[in-house]
Amino acid sequence: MSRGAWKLAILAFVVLAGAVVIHIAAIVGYPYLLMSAFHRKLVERDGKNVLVHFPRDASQRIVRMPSPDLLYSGVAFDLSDGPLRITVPVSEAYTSLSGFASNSDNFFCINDLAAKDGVIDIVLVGPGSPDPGIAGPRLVRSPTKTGLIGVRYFLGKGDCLPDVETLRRRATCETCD
Amino acid sequence: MGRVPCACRNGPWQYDLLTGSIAANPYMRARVARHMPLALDSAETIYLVADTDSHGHALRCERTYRLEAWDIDARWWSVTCYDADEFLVQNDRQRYSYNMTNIQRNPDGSATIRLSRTARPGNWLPTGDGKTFVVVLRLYLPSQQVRDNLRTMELPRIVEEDGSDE
Repeated sequence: MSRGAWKLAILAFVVLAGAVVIHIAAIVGYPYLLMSAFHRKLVERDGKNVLVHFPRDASQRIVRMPSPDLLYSGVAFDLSDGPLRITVPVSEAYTSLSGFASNSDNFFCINDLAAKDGVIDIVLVGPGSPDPGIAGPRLVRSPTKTGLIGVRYFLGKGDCLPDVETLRRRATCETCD
Repeated sequence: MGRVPCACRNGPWQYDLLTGSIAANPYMRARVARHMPLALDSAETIYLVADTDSHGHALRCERTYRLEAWDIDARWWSVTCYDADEFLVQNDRQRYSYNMTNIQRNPDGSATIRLSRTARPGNWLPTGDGKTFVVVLRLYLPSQQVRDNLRTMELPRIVEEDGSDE
């Protein structure tokens, strides 16, 4: 092969390798970017480690494929300042508390079937953080320092909405001392 | 990036039991983040997505379809219609989904949902003014028998009915 052809081949290889690297970086990075965007929006609007109750809004065009049969609440968590204790009173129909890491993985989900005395009660700690040793709540370890917590209440026929609205406002999210 | 994070198919329904999972590969994770953010792990919820009818033809808004449903052994299930951008179909009747508690049943316990642009009597979900739409069947806490047989069990059919809906 001539020198020119070699140069062309090497250039083609470098371009292709670069494209592959960029492609992989984009694929791996995309969930982080999306979660970071959600997290940032929530923190800017309501603050970190604050339980936010989202209204039913069928016209929203931020989160794809929402379920209109669920009432959602959430927390943009940041465990830099320590663990969080989260309590969620459960309804009779279905309630769940779930956590999503900064790469969007659903790293835990606890539903009402596992509730004690009508409440899901957890302490959320970050990676490598010690167990705060609080008696009662279930310890949940997040694989990342930041992420999102989701609360879901099933609305069934919809006539329970006022009761579920009252119930979910009793949920708490507090930094552990 | 393809819409459906799909490793399996049963009739018109596509699903992947690694949706939301920490074991998902980067492509799977990226698809879920793009099309179904904050999806729960399949231990809690299985999401079945249809963008075709039972004969494999794309679901088109100007056509009329009949979704033939029956109870699936799960804590609860729902059927929801989305536009091609995967948001709820905006409509004056505020109809977006049916679940096992609010769906009108046939005498044998099954249920029929019409999917069409214009209103139909009984269970009806509007498909909107676009070209295509998507249907998602959610199974929350499905039984182990459902999990074990998801690829082969009979799932709701989506059948095109005669006549367009223009």
